[in-house]
Amino acid sequence: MLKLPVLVVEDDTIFTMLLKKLIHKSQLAENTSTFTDPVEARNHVCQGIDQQIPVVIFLDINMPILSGWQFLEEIKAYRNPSNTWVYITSSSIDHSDQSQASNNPFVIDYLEKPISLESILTLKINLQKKLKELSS
Amino acid sequence: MRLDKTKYRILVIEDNPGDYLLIDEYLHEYISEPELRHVQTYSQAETLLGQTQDLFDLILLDLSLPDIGKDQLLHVAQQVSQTVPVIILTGYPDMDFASNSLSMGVSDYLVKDKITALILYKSIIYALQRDKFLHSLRASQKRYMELFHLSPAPMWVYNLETLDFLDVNDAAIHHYGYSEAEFLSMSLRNIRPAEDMVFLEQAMTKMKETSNQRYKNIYRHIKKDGSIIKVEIIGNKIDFNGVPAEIVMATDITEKLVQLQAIENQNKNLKEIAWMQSHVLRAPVARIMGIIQLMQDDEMDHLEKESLLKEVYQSATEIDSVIKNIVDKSQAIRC
Repeated sequence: MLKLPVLVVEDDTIFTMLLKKLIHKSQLAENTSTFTDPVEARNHVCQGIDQQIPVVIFLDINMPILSGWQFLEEIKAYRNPSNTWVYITSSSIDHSDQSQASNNPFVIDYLEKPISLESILTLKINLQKKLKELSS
Repeated sequence: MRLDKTKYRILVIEDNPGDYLLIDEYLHEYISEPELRHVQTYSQAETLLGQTQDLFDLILLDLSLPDIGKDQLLHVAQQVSQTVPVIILTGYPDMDFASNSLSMGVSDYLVKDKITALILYKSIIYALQRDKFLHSLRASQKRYMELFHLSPAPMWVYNLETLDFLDVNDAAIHHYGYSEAEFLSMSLRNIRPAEDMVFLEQAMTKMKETSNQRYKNIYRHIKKDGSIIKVEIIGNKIDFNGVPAEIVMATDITEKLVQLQAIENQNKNLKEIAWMQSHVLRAPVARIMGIIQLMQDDEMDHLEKESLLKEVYQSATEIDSVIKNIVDKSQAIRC
């Protein structure tokens, strides 16, 4: 299990439920917080977590009030892309969304919904490497 | 000496038999078989020429005929010389009259006393060559005028300084509804909507600054019936009888723009449909897939499964309404 906070920012209860289950099954992390309100999530990322602590965020794009893209814009001043690892989750299969994701420095990958256990296991290995790099 | 074997068809209008004999003699010195026709009065000549146009290659005309005055004869000669070259023969040297007749299109002016066989022959050959040349020049001029006047696209020429119309073709008259006289009494300003005048001024300033010959743009014009059309203008600077001008071809693209707008609207609709497919429709589909993934989990109890089934139904309903939306949009495109 990774020793870092994992945030799930998702306004759809089904996807939240599914993602939580996958995180549990893959034993990704102990500390998972879920937010259905992106504003709350933003406040938590900006003020509730030490800037030095690496954080993983599963971020839905299509949310009312604050979209995933706006969310990333607003945490810019508080978080460094080197230890803020964002996975975009979206049901969109539009290529322009995917290319927008790849252009954002925070974004590690674009996960198409529904997310599979395999993709969580893959990103877990990837995150373990990143953590190691960060500590060395 | 080798004689010219061309069978020149020459009409000699000469009332003096002695002079005619001389001419006949001179002609035969250089031309082996000239086809000569001799008449002695103006009225005879008139009858002869009135029959058919293409009877003679050349006319030798004595200016002093018994049945017509000199000035009137010159006037007739000038008209005839449009189709057949005319050489004037006279007994009296009159420089003013000579240069006057030459400027009016007569080919040559020869004083009888000074004529020799060679002079007459040379004069005839020159006149025929010049006529041939003028003929092809007139033909090409006519061809170019026809290109302008019979062009299916509206065209006009306007004065670059005053913007007055200098010439318009039939297509412009037909398309815009103004008569030729109306066009020629107007300037470019009269076919522009008042609010577009600033564009006209801008274009004219630009036109004067640039040395570019060609010019292309899209403007709004007013037809005589008051309707406004959008036209694509292609212009080229020309010298119009000494006046700096521009020749313009105007293509009415009003219809084309309307069609373009319709295509753009359809495109927008199609893009919206594509967006709905990948975003709006994909969302409940992804949710149903997620729910199925959850339900495959054995640890789930009966109640949980029951509530998830409700979620499936809700997502399916959502899909149904999105499909209805897409169908509505598609139908809008078809119309």
